[in-house]
Amino acid sequence: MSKRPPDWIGWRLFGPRLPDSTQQCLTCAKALTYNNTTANFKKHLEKKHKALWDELQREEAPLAKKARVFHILAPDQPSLGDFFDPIKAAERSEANKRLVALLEKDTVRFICADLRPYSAVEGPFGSHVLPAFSGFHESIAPLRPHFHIFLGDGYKSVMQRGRPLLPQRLFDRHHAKLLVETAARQIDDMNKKLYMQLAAGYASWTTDIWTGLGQKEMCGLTAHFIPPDWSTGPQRVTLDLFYFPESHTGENLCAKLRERANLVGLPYRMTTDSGANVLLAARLFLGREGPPSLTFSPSLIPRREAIKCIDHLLDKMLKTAFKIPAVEALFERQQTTIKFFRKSNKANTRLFQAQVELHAATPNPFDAFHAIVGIGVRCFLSSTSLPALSLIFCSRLLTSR
Amino acid sequence: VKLLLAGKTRWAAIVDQNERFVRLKPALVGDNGVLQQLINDDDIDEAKKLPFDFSSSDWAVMQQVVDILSPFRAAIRELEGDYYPTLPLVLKHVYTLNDFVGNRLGAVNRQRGAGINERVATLLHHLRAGLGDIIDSLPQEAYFASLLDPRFLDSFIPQPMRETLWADLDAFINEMWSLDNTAGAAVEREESSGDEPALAAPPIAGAATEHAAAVRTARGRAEAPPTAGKKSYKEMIAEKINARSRLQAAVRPYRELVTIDAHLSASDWWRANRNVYPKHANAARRLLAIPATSAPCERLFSTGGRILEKRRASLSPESVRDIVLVHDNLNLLDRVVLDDFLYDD
Repeated sequence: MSKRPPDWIGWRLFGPRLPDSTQQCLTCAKALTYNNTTANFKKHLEKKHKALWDELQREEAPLAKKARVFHILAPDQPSLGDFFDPIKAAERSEANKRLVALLEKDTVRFICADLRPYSAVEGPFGSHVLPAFSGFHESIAPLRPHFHIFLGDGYKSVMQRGRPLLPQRLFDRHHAKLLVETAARQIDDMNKKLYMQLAAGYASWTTDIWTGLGQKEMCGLTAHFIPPDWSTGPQRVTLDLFYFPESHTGENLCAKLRERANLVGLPYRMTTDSGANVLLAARLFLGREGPPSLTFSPSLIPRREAIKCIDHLLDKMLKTAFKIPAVEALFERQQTTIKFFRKSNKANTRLFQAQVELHAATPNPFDAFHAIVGIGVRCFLSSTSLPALSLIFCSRLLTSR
Repeated sequence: VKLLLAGKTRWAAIVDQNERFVRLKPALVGDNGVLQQLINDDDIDEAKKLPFDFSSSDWAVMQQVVDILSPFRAAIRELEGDYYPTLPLVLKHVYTLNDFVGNRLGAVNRQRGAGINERVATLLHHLRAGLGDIIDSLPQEAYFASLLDPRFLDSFIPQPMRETLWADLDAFINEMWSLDNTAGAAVEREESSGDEPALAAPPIAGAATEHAAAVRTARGRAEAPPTAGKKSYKEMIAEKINARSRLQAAVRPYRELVTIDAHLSASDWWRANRNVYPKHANAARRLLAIPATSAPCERLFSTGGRILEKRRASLSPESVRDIVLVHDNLNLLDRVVLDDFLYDD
């Protein structure tokens, strides 16, 4: 195996070196063999991908020989060094920009789909030290093979792999936050546009107030509508989830609802829980600006009221059903017993053993198998490992047939 | 299987708790039940003070409560759904539950002498009263939504109310119709303008072509010369469908429809028939979109709660909103352009 010139900029248009010392062209997937010289690679580029090769040379040639050290800077603090920085230069080339954009979308998807903290994109040492590995970037790197994650001791090692470095901003939590904000703003715009196109005047809203951790009081607002051509069933759009620190009176909430209605138009009706303040807000809101009121059968509740969430009503009824004197004592005892079992590990183990014995005693093959995997299920349950659980269920299904 | 403790926030969680407890009865009591073991065992002192002595009548009550309340839980789960009309289901579930409780109560009263537990009867009475209150407070939209859902129509509405409700519904849809046509719902008007005169006039053979031509000119789509001989396949099909649906409408007014199968989708039916009953479709588009529960909102909060976990308690509300928005619309993320205005160099 001969040593290849590491600094040759053409390498970034080829894939990694394979064991039989061939490398694949990233543009046309042709495999070329390295025989002591880069001549055949150069020839391939000049013949087949002239434009790309010229662009690369124009951008990289003056910089490649220079600065061997790169600076780690926050993205909003450019310095004179940036203009000579080979990494920034690499970023500037069009192809790289596209790939970085893909990676940034991955970041947003990772943070929002899996609900990870922004800091998860940073390495274990924090961004100010070095672009250290983060679990996230390490795991997507094999999926985006054009990039090279690198622990950074100079430009040389970058070019040895012949591929550009991940920009520092991908390892920065503030940048990740900025990305999520941008994505959220655009999605919000899209949602509102969709709503205005398809729902105007036909939508209903639901709203509720929620106190999250750290006394964060937030108000949620969703809209539901059916498109004019009935091409789908009811659609849901998240209108807003806004901070609501004022006192939760009906008037305050109504004012907030008006603000939203000014942006997207009025809803037809609203669905809320049975809280007096929310009901009042809905009555004020729908009463002044809603469609004109008609009362039909006098036995029915007139319009302009919010529709009370039926599940809240049913659930409240069930809860009070357990509180009536006839059964209250019984269910309190049940609850005390359950609480005891939740506290006492010993009692819980006993309960589990008793179940295994019971299952082992019954001749039903399905149950017997359940008892055997029961131990496994318990282990997995305690570590809340869902994939493993689903595996067990699948195997159970297979064996029962 | 572990014992389950009812959370405060999940709907009908107490039913789950009770069901799990009853399910574990063989392990808890019985020949060598865990409860007995715990009382006999000297290791766990605390167990001695606990009220473990469930009598057989206690277990019987718990078992019956499971039977009585699981339909309630099923109803709650179906009503909290997304992406299908839920308001028409309210009537179905509430009245079915009411009948169910009534039947159980009747059965209990008949067997009162035969050792049926008083406590269950009290519980049933309570549920009956509760359902009565809920039925009294049902909004008129729930009734109208049921009438406008071809799966139910008036099948769950008590007989004496049906006549007035159908009359009310007619008033309601006319009101909605005039509201839209004066307030200028452009989309709706364009869609239904072709069908309104057709409903008024009885279907005459040959009127279909004239009508189609009129519509075409009215909509400003007269680029294709409207010669009778040369019609595109699409137009011919459309006319056939139009003629047939008009015939249908003339034969069968909305009120005399027969319910369709309960497992079919109401929105599919309306998609096919929206031009047959334009006024009804117009009102149905509003009513069937109303969610019966505030579950969608609660779902937002549950996502928010997962974001605002202990270690991220100081996250700003705006960030929570952003993450929830993207989380709920991951399918739109492909259309987002991230780098265009972030790095202008």
